[in-house]
Amino acid sequence: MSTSTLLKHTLRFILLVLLQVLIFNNIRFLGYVNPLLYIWFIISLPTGVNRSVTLIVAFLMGSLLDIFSNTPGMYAFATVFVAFFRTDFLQLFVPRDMYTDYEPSVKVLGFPTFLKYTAIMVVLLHLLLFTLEDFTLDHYWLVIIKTLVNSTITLLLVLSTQKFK
Amino acid sequence: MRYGVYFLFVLLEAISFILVVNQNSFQHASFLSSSNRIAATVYNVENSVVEYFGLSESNRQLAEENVQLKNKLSKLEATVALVKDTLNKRPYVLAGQEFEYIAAKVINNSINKLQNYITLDKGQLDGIEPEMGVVNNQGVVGIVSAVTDHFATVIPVLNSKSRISCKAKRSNDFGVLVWNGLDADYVQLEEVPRHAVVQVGDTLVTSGFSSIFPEGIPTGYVTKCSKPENKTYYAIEARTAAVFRTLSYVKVVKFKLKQELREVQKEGEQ
Repeated sequence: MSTSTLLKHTLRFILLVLLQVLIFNNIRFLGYVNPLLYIWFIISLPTGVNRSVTLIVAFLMGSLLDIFSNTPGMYAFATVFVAFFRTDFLQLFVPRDMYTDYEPSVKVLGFPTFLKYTAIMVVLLHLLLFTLEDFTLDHYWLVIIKTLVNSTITLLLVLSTQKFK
Repeated sequence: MRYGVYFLFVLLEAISFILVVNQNSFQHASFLSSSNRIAATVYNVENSVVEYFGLSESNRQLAEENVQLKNKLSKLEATVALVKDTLNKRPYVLAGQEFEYIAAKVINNSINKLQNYITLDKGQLDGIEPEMGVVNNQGVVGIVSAVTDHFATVIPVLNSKSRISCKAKRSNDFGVLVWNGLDADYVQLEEVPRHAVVQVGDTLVTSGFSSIFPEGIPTGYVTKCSKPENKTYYAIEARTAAVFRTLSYVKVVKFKLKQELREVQKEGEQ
């Protein structure tokens, strides 16, 4: 990975954590709107990055968010889980003959593939996080509604970062 | 190291999961909280920006509180004068003196989660300790769960772990105030027996059973009240007294005789 790519992703990491804790975790609309745009960092991490490094970075990011939002372990668990299965989801949708090191985006993967890949990552993340937050399954309807609403918003936000042309 | 990555995955998930489980109770909500130095500093900076947008509302609330305090002061002055006149300097006790208030500013607040938290800009050095009550001029806000030197984390009424002992002001019927996680404007009063007399419009106030809140601070106003056929308790919904969406200044309640009360209760149990 070149220095400029490293710098770009480091900056994105910091920016997304700040955006998440300062803006997206503070939306007070309807009482349960809480999109998780930070996952765009994991989604768009170059595939050439070592899998262990990806996991450690995901854990770091999750733990940072946990500290800010008083949710010990929850973001970390969900983020590491999604980061681990990222490779498998990509292999599921991306043709095998694609070159090995690329940054997943609409430009590289094409819209349908990127949408499928992002959607599954985003829904899984929200479902895990909201289930952990509830923990007792007392509010499972709320968990499902929150997952659907927030996944849609997050998905739209991630797509809005993409260049289409 | 073919299986190294799987091992790492399991390890990281295990750490996270242990944290989730350990923290999933009121008692353990202190570790890794937003009252730590770095997180609180970031929130402090954010708050100093966001504060400007809520200035008019805060101003109005402060002005209101000013009026209330002035009214109270004049009443107290009158009482003092009366007491001096009639009792001729005999010793007397003024009720409510065992409580002391510490003013603090809210620097972070959420209402869109099941487990909401509030961060305050005052901490241990200002005399704040865990399990102190937090109120504002509208009513009860929550209970302090963790403190560092300069910051404190509060578990507000809008947290599914929060349970606050309450009573109806008019009929003195007791219940426990909880939140079902759905609407940040409404809380639920549980464990009110069917023979109690609670009506829509009643004011709910703190019971004063614990040493956390003084008696009679508003917690909510009953909006829905029914007796479900198959339940032994009332189903009561109330609008929160404190408006959590626009929370900015709060007071932490310090009970001066806490230690003494604890010792007495401990002796009683033995």
